[in-house]
Amino acid sequence: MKQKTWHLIDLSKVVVDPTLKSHANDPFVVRKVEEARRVLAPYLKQLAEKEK
Amino acid sequence: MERSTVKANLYSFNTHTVKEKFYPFRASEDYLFYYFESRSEERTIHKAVQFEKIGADIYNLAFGDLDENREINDFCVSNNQDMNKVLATVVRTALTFFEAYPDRRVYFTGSSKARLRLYSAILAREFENWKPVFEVLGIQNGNPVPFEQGVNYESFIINRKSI
Repeated sequence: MKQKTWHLIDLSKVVVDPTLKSHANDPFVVRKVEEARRVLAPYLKQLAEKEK
Repeated sequence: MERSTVKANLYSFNTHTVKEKFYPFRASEDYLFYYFESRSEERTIHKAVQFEKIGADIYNLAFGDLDENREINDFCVSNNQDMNKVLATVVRTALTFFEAYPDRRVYFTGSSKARLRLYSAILAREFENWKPVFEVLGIQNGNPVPFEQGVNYESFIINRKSI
């Protein structure tokens, strides 16, 4: 059966603010991403090998 | 899954989970950063949520207060007496992220053991509501396993189910 897209949020009703910029380089965010990569290292390795 | 079942599952999720009041928030144009304000009579606290790629299709959810340098931190317990509303708002930003990026997954953990226990308790409490529409994996020793109530995990990965 063809899978249909379902929606919980109407993106047209979400307020988008073009002045809001990414905090990807925020030290807190960087630290959290590094921690996550350490925790998930075996799993991420599995996923990478599957993609080869 | 039949269309009527899909609609019933979404209705149930919306009714029970999304009913929690949440703060109005704004999203960045790429739907990866969100800003809202936690308000009480005493003060207003600036809150931020950032989704950032860890690897593969998995994004980390980082949440905290914006300090005077406009940087995020979660060191302080700001305790504005509105924890449920703040958490409901963070959930809302995650739902928005999933709407914008339906094939991606979100990883999150608690900044402390107490917060990890809180998130685990909420997932367990809302299990029947989210189970039809989301898949939740709990991380144990770096390995993801299907979430079970009453089991301790280090962190979680969530993704939308294709229904």
